[in-house]
Amino acid sequence: MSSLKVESVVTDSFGIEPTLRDDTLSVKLTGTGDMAAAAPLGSYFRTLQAEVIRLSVSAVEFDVRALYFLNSSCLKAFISFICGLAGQGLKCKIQFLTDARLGWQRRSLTALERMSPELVSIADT
Amino acid sequence: MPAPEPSQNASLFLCITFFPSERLANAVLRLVSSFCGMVLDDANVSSRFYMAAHELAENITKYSTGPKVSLELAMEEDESSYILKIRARNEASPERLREVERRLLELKTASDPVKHYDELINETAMIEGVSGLGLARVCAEGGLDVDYKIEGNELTIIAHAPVGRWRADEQLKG
Repeated sequence: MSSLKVESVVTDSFGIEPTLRDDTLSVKLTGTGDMAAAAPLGSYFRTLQAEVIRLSVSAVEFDVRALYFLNSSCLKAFISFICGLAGQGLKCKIQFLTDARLGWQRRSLTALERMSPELVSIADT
Repeated sequence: MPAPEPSQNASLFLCITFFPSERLANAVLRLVSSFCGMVLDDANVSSRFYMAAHELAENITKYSTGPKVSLELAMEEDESSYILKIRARNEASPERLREVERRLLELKTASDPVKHYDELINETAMIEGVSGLGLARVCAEGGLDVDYKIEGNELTIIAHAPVGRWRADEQLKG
């Protein structure tokens, strides 16, 4: 398997840090997913989708435990990413790691689980 | 845009008028986050109202055609309960007003807000540019009701829900 060709993103209020472990691509999100984060996140997901295809990973794990908020535009970026993978016929699993103490995380992401229950799961830690 | 005034039954009232910039909206939202955390003693309830305020503040900022927008939070006493209301005001283009009214009418007539949100997610999944999910999210995820008013080119969106418990003023001291 080749090395990861997608880099970290760091802004004043938002961060994305990818790592590849075996056949799982882990993406840690930090900060606030607000208006300023929506465009970089959407753009990042387009690159990430190409990486998922190139590396044939079987799972993408989003660690959102250090995320303070996700607005609807950022949620939409997740939706497009998941639907984009499904549209390519990929069976790549998507798992979200949430902080059980931050109830909003599961509440916000549950809509993605309802959208694609066969692909998306949420694990409280 | 006339200056908002608190209703007579408002126990708490916070109104911030600002020019519609992303940086100012973020600063306002930090204040709103503190306000919700201070007033509401349940973190889950607080985060629902904060999410609603965030979505509304971003909407009025993104789509404003006027020089200022306003975001207002008011704890109002009803007959037997307290209701926290978030009012967001801006001036918008006729096209935007028509579009937002269409979305709000769909939302208000939807029998199940969660089903409506899920349908919107599926319909808009591959449409680039705008999410179109914010208002539906306020109802489905936040559990808030949404009302609106259009007067001329001014749009007011009100998201509100009863609050079981809140920290009354004597508890806020110190």
